[in-house]
Amino acid sequence: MKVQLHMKLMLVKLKEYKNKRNGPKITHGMFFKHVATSVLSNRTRVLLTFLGIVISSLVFCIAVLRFDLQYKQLQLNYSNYPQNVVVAKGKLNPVDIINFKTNFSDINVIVGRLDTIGYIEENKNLSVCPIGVKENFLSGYIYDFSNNGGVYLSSLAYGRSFNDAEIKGLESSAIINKTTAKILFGTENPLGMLVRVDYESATQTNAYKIIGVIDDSFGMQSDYSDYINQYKDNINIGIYTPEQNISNKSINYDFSIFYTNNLSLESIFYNEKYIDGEYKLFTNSEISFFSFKDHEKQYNESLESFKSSYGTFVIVIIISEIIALNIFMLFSIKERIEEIGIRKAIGSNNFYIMMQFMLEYFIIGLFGTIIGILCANFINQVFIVVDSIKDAYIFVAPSMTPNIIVFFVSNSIILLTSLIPALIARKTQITDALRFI
Amino acid sequence: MIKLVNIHKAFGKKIVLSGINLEINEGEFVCIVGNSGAGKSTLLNLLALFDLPTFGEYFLDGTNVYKNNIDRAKVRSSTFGFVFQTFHLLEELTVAENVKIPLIYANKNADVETRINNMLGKFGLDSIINTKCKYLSGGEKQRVAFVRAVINNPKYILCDEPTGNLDNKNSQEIIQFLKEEQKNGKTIVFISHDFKTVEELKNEGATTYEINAGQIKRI
Ligand SMILES: Nc1ncnc2c1ncn2[C@@H]1O[C@H](COP(=O)(O)OP(=O)(O)OP(=O)(O)O)[C@@H](O)[C@H]1O
Ligand SMILES: [Mg+2]
Repeated sequence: MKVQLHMKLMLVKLKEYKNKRNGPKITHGMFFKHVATSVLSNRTRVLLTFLGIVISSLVFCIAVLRFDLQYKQLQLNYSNYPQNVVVAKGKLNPVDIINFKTNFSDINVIVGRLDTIGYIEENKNLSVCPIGVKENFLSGYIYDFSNNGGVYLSSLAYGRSFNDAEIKGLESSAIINKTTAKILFGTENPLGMLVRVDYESATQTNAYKIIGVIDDSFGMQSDYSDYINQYKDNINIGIYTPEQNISNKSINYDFSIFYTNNLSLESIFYNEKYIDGEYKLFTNSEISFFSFKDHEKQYNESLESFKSSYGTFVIVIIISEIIALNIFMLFSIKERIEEIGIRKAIGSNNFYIMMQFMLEYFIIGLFGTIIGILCANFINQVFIVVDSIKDAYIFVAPSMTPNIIVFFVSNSIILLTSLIPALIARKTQITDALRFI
Repeated sequence: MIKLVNIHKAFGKKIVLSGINLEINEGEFVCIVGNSGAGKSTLLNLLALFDLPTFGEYFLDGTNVYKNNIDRAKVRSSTFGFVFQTFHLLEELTVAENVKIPLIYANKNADVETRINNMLGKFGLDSIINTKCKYLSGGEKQRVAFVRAVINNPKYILCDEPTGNLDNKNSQEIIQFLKEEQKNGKTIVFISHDFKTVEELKNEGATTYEINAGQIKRI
């Protein structure tokens, strides 16, 4: 008997399901009045939700604005970047550079470490880009030293740079720095005088005609002095006299000398190999070449990794926004359950109840995101000012696109999220809503 | 006219109503009494279309409510008025706003303000029209709830222990209001667990029923 009864109950339940009621007939006036009373009766919660949306869209917007700026900055860095580049991760000497130039005729920029010699061939428009302390050349700047008459990273004070014959070692000439000039010759401008370098073997001609003087300071890197000190113990330079009457001067000052021998242009300063007792050319494994293709590849890789890391960040923010909103909404729906019950009891249909939530959050979301975006833009401007004080590298102007994106994404999220409480509210039974209060 | 035929209501395995047959005629003052947990509220929820029975049939003014696809929200809004034991007002809204809500749902736009003011005046609530309901006394709340119940001029007024939270004076007042509404031709369903009140109402001409063990019988 009892089993029969329950079977019957189940059948009726099934029928009930099919017995869907008619769709609601809505008039706009009615509906907006309904929402208005709902907002009124939930002032505090509406305000809190509003604040929540302001904060989350603010954080979201700042993230996107920063992304946009940095992304554009990255693009700008690349667009400034000349197309045909050699990036040398090892130390370079002029020989290598000339070799590059021979092997890659379309190269016009060489990127190397700051302590790498950048020999500039004046007439061939070769620029040098020191990488600085960072390994990633993208963060470096490009300096075009060819305008300075171009010897190394310093400008010529007197004289000229090497000519083709000198570079090929057909003539022996040297460029020294001012201090070296003063100490050896008593003048900053000893053009035409001869200088000798005493590590050379006796069979080699070791008299070099001074054709140029450069400023002392390389001015780019503080640990130069350490580097120089390594050489002080290993080398002597002095004035060359035909009698081989060498007048040695011990080196207790910062010196630079670049000179040519019968093989090629050489630099004492950077010739690490000499410290080990012999000189040889750098091997390929010590120098990496980046052709334009590599450059393009690296550019794309950098953009991708930048995008994906920032993308992850933004997605995390979006997800936490959704979670926060949801928690907030579910919390508020629990609080509002009596109201839902009352409203249904006195004649509101389910559609109204559902739309009430969605419209309410839509309106709050609209204003909340607008205010959040405005605040974010203000904060972003502050960031930019702070960055510029810190001498940071943002040179691009902020654009509207991030704001538009955040506005639409945020509002879509809010609308989608409001579906959850809206559906819960729709399903809430009057009896349940009114019973347990 | 309301007619319930063989109404059963079970919550899970618990059968609360088992075979309720009841006829309520227009203009009748019906009292339903029963002990706590007897199923009075359950029955009222069914009458009010807040809930569906497990099975059984419900004829409202000749329409089979469950068989025909009626808009239950519309019926609740236009045909019924409700008074609850715990008032169920929207506490953050003012008296006038609360009373206005049924009019919104019934889509009545004409003379809303005057209608509200007149009604509230009639029940001595003029001075608190713009007071938030959370600041009202119990008696005031129930009067507001009463106005809300009758503002749409419903045919039936369904009350679930409307006096349950009120003192004697306020209770008498509400019962008085209900009687007046009955005189105006409305049908009243009044639920109480208080046999004494029901006895009194019976002596004044109400139709009285008792719910016990899932069944209803005339007393
Ligand atoms: N949603 C539900 N789920 C489970 N049991 C329920 C539910 N609603 C009501 N009941 C049970 O049904 C029985 C009748 O409840 P009802 O609220 O109708 O009693 P009542 O006669 O109104 O009592 P009171 O005078 O205390 O208000 C109770 O035992 C209650 O526990
Ligand atoms: Mg009850």
